[in-house]
Amino acid sequence: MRAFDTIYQLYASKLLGFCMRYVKSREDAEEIVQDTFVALWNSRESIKSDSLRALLFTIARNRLVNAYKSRLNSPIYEDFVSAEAYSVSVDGTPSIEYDEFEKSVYDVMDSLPETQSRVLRLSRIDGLSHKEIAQKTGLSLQTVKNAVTEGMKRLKDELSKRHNDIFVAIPLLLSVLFRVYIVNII
Amino acid sequence: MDDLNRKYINDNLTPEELKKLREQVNTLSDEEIGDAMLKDWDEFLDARSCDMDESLMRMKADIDRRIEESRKPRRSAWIKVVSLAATILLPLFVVATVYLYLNGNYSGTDPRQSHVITAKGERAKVMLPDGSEVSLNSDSNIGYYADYVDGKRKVRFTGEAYFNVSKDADHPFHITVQGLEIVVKGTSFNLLARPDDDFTEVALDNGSVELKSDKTSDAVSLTPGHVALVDRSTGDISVTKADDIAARSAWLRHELIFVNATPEELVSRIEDAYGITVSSAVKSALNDTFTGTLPSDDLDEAYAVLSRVYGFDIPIYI
Repeated sequence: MRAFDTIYQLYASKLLGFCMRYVKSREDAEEIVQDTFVALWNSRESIKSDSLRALLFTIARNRLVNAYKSRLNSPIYEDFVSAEAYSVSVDGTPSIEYDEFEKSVYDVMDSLPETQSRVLRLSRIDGLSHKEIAQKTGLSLQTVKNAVTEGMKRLKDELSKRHNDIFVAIPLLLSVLFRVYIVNII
Repeated sequence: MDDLNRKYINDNLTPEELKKLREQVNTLSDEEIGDAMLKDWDEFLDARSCDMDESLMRMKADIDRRIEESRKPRRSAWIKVVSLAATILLPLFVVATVYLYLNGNYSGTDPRQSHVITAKGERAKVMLPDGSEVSLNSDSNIGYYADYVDGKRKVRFTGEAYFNVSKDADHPFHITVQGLEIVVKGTSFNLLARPDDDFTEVALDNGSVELKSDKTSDAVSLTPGHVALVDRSTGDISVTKADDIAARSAWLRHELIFVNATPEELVSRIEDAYGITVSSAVKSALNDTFTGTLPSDDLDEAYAVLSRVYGFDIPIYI
């Protein structure tokens, strides 16, 4: 195990940092790093390559590409970008991390009543349209719209509570609602 | 992509730029995305130093645990202990087996068997060691061996399942169910053998199976498109031609099919499929027989259909 420990010490924090660049969520990034090192150990007897850094990347590669694509296309990331667009500080650094933003969204989902929570998940995690959600759940279109509106309002409250920064939250709400409104008209 | 991707990494994309980046990335193959990442990986490594913090230590502990788990079966010390235990326990097992067998208490649990069990509302797909596939419906139990037993492939079963048995004429496939021994040659069929029912049902899609009743030693050979019904109290096997063979395995396609079902039957099948209890308010609204198809994987949808058919309006979650 000793060589393995050394490799971990040399590369784990770098790999984790690299995963964070593309995956944005700490939890998902940690999972990829752990899977990668377990896979590295399991394949130790068949390792021929002399470049560890290339090998580690090769093992992590598929997981990374998939996680990157799903983050990039996720509705929650889109919400995050919209929120940022209204609150980017002067020096261009983001006012909150995506990770923190995502946690707020999940907290809000957990705090909502069952039906609202389910609707918000289908909307923000699975990326379904209001119409699709209505078909899937058997709820009326109006109920679905109300649930998303209510969920986004709670998200706004949650964010301003956490950051004492009303300027983050209010434009976020407006932008999200506005977008939803447009989509419905189309 | 380079410039936009840099912005993505630094979290300062505008909504418009995000849209553009999505469009670009979604037209690339995984291969191309991976190559771009590899370039970034090389630059990133050169720029960064490494440090072990607390969460990295915690992650390492997890990794070590997972590695340790995957190593266990190879440990020779363990094998020694186990084989010693086996030497001591084997005579005991033999005596116990003979005793239990002679006393008729043999309950069918065999330590050499692996079991896959589904709870109410659960499903599972099992790949047996010989390559046969078994789809288990809810509340079912299949026991199987890692290897042949007396040159046969043997399984023990209760519940409902769809069997897709792989062809192997040299090793017949035996299923022991309540009141019945089924010999399969390589075929697919639906088997319904719930402990609470009075009968066992085999519906054959294709191939051929032989059934032998425990009680009467009657042997029947089943041909495709036929359904065999075994009465457990008498052991009699009756075979009928069925036009609706597909309906027997409807549960595989997440469908519940009802033909003139009584309200009691309707309620009990819904409760079994979803592992729920139907509220008394809803029960009293289901006041007539039902013919139709309900989904078995979407309770909201099933509920919506029923409330339309029976014209009730009771909130589903009370």
